[in-house]
Amino acid sequence: MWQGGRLKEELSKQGLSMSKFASELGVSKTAVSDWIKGSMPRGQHLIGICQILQVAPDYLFNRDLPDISIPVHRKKLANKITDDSRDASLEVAYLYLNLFRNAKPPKLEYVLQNISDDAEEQLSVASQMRRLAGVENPNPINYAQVFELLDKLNIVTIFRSFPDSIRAYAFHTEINGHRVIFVDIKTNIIDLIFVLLHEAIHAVIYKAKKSQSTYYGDTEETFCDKVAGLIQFPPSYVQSLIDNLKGKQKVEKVLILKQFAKQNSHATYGISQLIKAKSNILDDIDRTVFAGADARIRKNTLTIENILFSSDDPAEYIRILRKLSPFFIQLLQGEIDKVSMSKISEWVDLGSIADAKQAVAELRR
Amino acid sequence: MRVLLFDTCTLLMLLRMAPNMFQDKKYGAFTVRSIREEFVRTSKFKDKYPWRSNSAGSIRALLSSHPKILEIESNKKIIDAQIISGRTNKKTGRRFDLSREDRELVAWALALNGFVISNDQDIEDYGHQEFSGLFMGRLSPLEILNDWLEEGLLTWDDTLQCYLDDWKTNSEKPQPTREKRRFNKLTGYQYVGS
Repeated sequence: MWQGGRLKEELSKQGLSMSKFASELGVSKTAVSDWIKGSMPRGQHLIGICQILQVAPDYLFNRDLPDISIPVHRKKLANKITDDSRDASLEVAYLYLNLFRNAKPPKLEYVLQNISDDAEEQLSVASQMRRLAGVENPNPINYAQVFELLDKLNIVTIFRSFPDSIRAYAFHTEINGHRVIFVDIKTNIIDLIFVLLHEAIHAVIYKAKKSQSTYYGDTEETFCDKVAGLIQFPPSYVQSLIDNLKGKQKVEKVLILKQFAKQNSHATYGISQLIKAKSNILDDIDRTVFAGADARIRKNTLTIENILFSSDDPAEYIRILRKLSPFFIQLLQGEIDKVSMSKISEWVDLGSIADAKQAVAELRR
Repeated sequence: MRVLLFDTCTLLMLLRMAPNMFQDKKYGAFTVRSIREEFVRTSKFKDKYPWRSNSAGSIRALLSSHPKILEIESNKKIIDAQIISGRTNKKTGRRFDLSREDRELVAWALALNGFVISNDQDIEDYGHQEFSGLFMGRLSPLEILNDWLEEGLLTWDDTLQCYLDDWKTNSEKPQPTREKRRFNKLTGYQYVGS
């Protein structure tokens, strides 16, 4: 946002009166006074201001806007989140500002008022979420059900190819009151499910004001981890695995875990941690074994990109996108005739305007 | 010589008709690096422009070593800040929403006194509203095509007429009526594009 106060400060620092500055710039003193009070100058005057005062344009603007929350990231052991990473996430979110600014306000939403460290309450939240996602059996939630849940929670999911500087599979932000989760399309399904659930819980936790921090607090992080884990793996599933592992040799145990993981599209590492929290049955197996097993499962599991582009037919792409992110499609449909093709191309992130044009043609059908 | 800065859509419309538009300086054609890169990317869908990747090598992009790069970078920051802050188009009442590619083209156009070649009215409105003393303007691809015909850079024939027909097939934005009439007069062919 334009910072008129900075202009005032700079004039004073450089000993320039408003009249002298106005005359150098070829504008009226009233114009300068209006800018100081907060009205943003026209582009060509901004160029002049920067040239005369020898300041960078960034100095005259504040990048934090009232209608967008700063994307925050999981603070994980090896996953170092830097300012660059935060800024890159913000840049991604900025691309969609006007899409949400022009959209109708969101409907009434599911909100979690309290973060509880009580296991029963966490399980109750997780059970509600599973019901919302339409999961009726005790199996782990699958990716289609996760997207169903996001839809029910009024979360707009946006798929993009993340730059390397964003060290996350997905991140949540709020834009003009809308809950948004950005997903890196390169992410493998087995890695994405838990992360999406985790970010979804962050999205529905009531916040009195928008985040101005780079990290979530530890309490919120732990709560989201616990609830996401319970949504993905209900206790009965964890117990059934423990029962299957009982009395088995080391190699057999790994094979069983891998078999369950493949059948239910999840990694072995996450579930092994949940099993370890309940039983010592996996204590004889080093964590690196699970990492190796997961690498092999990953090779045979789809990424979001594989799912979205399973065909070279744009109609099929739109059909899949509509299924995974119906709100996003609705928002796009509201804007396709109002913005340029290059802007649409940027929103759908197909990497090519030619592709975007075909996708838009499908959206219009 | 005019500096003409092409966006992706208009480049796709004209490159096949004037394959040496970037080699022959008389055309005055330029674009930015991100647009040239788009031409080499593999298409996700069955490509409507199969000739696209073969033409990538002929596209001349403006370089980051340009002597005016500091001015261009500063322009970009100003434009970014204005768009992110929600600058409104006084004509339509809607916020300007230029893509990164469009912002870059405007930033270069301001520094090089160039014209932006685009079908997008929002670029023109933004340029004139915010940089009335500096922005040269936006031109339609058909106007450029007519100029090139008039300057003798292109000779119209049946093949080019087929390419023009593709503008309609590919649902390109409608071109100005005045330019359609000018085209008919210049070529003796009936305008068949969008």
